[in-house]
Amino acid sequence: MSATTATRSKPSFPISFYVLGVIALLGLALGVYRLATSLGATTNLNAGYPWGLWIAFDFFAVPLSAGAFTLAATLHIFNRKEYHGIAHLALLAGFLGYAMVILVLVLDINRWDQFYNVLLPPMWNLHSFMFEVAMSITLYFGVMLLELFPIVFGRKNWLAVRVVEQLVPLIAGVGVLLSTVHQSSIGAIFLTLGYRLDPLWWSPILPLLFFTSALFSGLSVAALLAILTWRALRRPVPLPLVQGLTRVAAFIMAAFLVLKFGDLLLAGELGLMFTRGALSLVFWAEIILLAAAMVIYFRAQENENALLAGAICTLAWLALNRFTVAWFAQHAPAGATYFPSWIEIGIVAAAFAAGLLFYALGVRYVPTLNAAVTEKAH
Amino acid sequence: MSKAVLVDTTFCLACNACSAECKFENRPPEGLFYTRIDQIEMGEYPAVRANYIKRQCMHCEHPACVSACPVQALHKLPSGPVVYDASKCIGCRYCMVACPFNIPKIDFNARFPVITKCTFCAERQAVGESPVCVRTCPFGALKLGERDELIAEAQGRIAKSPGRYINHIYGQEEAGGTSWLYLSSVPFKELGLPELGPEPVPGLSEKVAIYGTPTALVTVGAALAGVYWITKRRMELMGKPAAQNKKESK
Repeated sequence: MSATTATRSKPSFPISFYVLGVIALLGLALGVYRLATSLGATTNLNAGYPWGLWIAFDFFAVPLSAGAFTLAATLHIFNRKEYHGIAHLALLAGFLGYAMVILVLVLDINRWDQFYNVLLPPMWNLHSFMFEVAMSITLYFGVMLLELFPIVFGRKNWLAVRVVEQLVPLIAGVGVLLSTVHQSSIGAIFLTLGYRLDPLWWSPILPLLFFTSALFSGLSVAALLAILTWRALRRPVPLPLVQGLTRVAAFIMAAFLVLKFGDLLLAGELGLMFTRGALSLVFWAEIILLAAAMVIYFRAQENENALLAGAICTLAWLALNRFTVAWFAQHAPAGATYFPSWIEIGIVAAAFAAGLLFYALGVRYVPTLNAAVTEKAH
Repeated sequence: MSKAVLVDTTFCLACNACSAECKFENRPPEGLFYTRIDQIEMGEYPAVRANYIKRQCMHCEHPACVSACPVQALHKLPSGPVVYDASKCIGCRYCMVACPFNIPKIDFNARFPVITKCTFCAERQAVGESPVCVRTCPFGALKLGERDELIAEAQGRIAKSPGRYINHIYGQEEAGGTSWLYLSSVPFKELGLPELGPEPVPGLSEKVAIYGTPTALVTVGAALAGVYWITKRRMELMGKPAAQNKKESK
């Protein structure tokens, strides 16, 4: 019945698809150029700033892709079947997000010729959170492939599809565990950087802060996807589901703010909110964005546009927070400065373009994903 | 026992023989050094004074770089040196940001850069030779020895000439202790060495990795299994028809 729904509107791509495609292809060319030359020839990274825009993008895009695991938990662990449509879209978006993270990471590491070392057991350093993150993201990428498999090929009567379908709750559970590990481990990477990261952001509870913020960011991304995808396909937005996601996100945001201010209070560092100059302004920008999102989520549950604005505030907060921790709030050795080169910016733009394009193509042309939106949800 | 070097900065005249000889023997890429002499000017003209300090990897007792490296490309030898194996490195540069002394460097213009930092001449030491810089220094500012003996010697020098030194051996406590130790006539901060507490830099991170990660895995895993079981059971208790309706509607 719906094999036709997908192909019905076959004729032409909207112009935006071509624009995204061109940006993505240019990024691909830049990526090849980067691998063929050197970091010095393509980036503005330097001895004082060995980490720059690309690593900040990775640390932002991983929680941005957290819709996949939060909705997998909602659907398979909490057994809320009415969320299956949104969960499928969040899984697609999350999968594409992680794919872009891995691609950008390969460009970023300077020994990409032997990146596989991190997968070889004799090399593992269990003390290193970089190891935990790398391993856990790799495994989770495999889990997402397994989760996508029965969705994409759900209409084929293959034995493999049926077998994986039976195991989906278990696979989803493993995915949630792996996500818990790497979402918090990304925060833990900064535990050794107490001398370098500004005290307004450095904290012994960074892993907890990164994990809780990944939860509400993932739920917000799912809400955003639901509203925009249903609108794009001219279907009525499933508002009760969006309300459910944003309400839970709001409670987690409240918990996050309590943790954040409680941590500053107990460390005796509340005064830093006013004494760090430009960084204090960044801090307040973060707090205002997050508080705005939380208040909207709590108080404007009936207003679809307001919830959309709340989700956008949340993602703006996420970008600002992760970029601040990975870049702005790092005190480099005296004299060092960094601003990304146009190639670094181009690669990140291309990653977003490619992710968006493949998401749109997936929703359009994968019958089961298309049906997740176009079929009556419950 | 582990080897260490005592750097008596009051003997250093910034002749740069150590850094030149090191560069000649170890051949780091252009623009990078295993060791260098920093010259720090202090005071207002005309009362200007210059202080010199030899800088290189401190060879920490609990190195942040070793803890940070995901693939064990860096490790601390029992004999003292922190050494690097380029064949393991994936180039994530976590060691570069984790080091509080800002020591590991790469040649950004190389296609496959490797970490460049002082090796404490581990290979020369393994065959009983002195590190190049120690061997070269014409003024006796560098002394190789057992770490505890050098600390005792440094304390002796401070006690003998209290006017010459400030009463602090840098590296004895800093960051959990380092294999390179410093004596100075001016506060170490003025020589560009960071003020660090006695805790190893990677201490908290390693504790969280060893205890936090398994704890999180077990509790979150148990919670997921519990929630899964409860929601499933509740659906069964809600009666077959209701459950069937839900299934069919999917």
